[in-house]
Amino acid sequence: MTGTLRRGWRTQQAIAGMQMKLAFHYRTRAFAQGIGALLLIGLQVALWSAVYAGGDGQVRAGGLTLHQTTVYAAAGTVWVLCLPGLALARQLETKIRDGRIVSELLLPTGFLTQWFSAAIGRTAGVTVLVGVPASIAGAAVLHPFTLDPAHVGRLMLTTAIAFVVLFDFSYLIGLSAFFIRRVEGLNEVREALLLLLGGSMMPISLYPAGLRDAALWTPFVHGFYTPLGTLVRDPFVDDRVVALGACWAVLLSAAAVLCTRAALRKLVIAGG
Amino acid sequence: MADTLAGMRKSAGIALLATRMNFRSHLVHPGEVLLANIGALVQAVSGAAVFMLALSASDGIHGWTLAEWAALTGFTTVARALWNTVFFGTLDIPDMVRSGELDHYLVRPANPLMLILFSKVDTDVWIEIAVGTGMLGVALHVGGAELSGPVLLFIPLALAGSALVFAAMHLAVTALSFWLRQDAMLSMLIWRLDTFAQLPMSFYPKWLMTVFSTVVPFAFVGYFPCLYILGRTDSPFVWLLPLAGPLLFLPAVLLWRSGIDRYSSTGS
Repeated sequence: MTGTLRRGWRTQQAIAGMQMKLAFHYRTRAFAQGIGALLLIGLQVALWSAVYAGGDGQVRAGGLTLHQTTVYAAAGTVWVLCLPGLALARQLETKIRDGRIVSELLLPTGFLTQWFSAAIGRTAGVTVLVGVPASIAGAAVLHPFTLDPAHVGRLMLTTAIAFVVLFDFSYLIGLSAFFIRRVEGLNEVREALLLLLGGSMMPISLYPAGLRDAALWTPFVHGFYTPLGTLVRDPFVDDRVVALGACWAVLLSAAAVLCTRAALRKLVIAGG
Repeated sequence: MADTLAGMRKSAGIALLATRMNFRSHLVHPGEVLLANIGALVQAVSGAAVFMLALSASDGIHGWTLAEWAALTGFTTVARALWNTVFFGTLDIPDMVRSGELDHYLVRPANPLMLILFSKVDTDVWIEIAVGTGMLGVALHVGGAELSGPVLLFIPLALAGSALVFAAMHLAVTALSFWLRQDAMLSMLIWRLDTFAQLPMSFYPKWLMTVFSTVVPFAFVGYFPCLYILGRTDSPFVWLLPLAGPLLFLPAVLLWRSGIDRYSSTGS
């Protein structure tokens, strides 16, 4: 590793570490988020129990049992808390609007990589602080749940893809503040698409076949459905879907790089 | 008495002026208002579609048909949008307390709560009101609900009451920031939970329904009023439901006042 690369790596590590410490600073907020997540998991269990009640026993259209579906929904609730989302886009928007973004451009790091490292740090912090305890408590409610060792590698891969895809979405929306004044509308569209096509609340495999097959081609499913489906061993998450997710992660990252260049060219420093 | 009336008239005048000014400032950028409304539309439709897809896996959920559930969703969507139209500014109270920005409102010659309420308008809610009203109307028609005169009179009263229930919950929670000094800690919980107010409360176990009827009174937002609108109850007590909003809002205002009394600025 050359000196420049090593220095760059250390800088990114420092940025991620700082964000992680910051996440630990807001412990009360994290505690509230954890309690909220547990309440939501309870509500999800009630919802899916009601949906499955009176059916033919256990299996539904997508081949998922009630247990798999509730595990999926509960994991999705924790997932939303930990991964890059609205907060990143809003933070970026605020800094662009009030001009603080300029000071970030003076740092000896790339603009995109700097935000990516910050997102990793924050995710790690929130995962340790909220995600892990909420998952343990949720797992106690949804016991028994076992993860096939053969799926661990695939789960790590799909989780990494999900992180990149969700980061890119939030980053691109936040960056659009260079071109438009309010990004709230775009944020809402993103949330809606993640809800409907991404499976942030229910597995896509429970959708009617036409909608399910169409949704599998979109990038949104790779933020939630692909990793969560892997977790519960949803039969629709096969190698083809994972490969598609990897392609979307690369495409969206390339779009993020191009948009960063285009956006920073629009920056005008008044010199105040 | 005369002083109180004069004060109220003055506050109403300020509120009207502030609202007009806020709407105008939004309309300076009509494209962004349109984009925000499109976003709200996509979100409202997607949220409803996902719940519908989930519920369509069963023939009827705890005795509720899809049309009845859609009517409940439409009703709560409108109530929430009405709350958002006027009370949107209260969500900023924790930040104002933390940053000391509240001082700006306290030194002005008008009721600070009134100033905060009308400090912001959310123009994204127009489409939510349209979608919710349309959903409620279509669902009632498809579901074959009997829309008698009393029901038609009840709906707007209940909507106003429900909007106030939302307002009371959010004001009470944000007013706690005077003591907790945490930004939007509990408010976030209410935000996360209110999606589930769109589901029939009979979904939930009894203890949870008790919580939703008392501690976090989401049941008053849509479930109880819709029991009457959908013809599931003919109890005369339903006419007391619209009063739940004002009755809950009153202690929330008292909590706010109590918080203001103990407020000490950050000094920044």
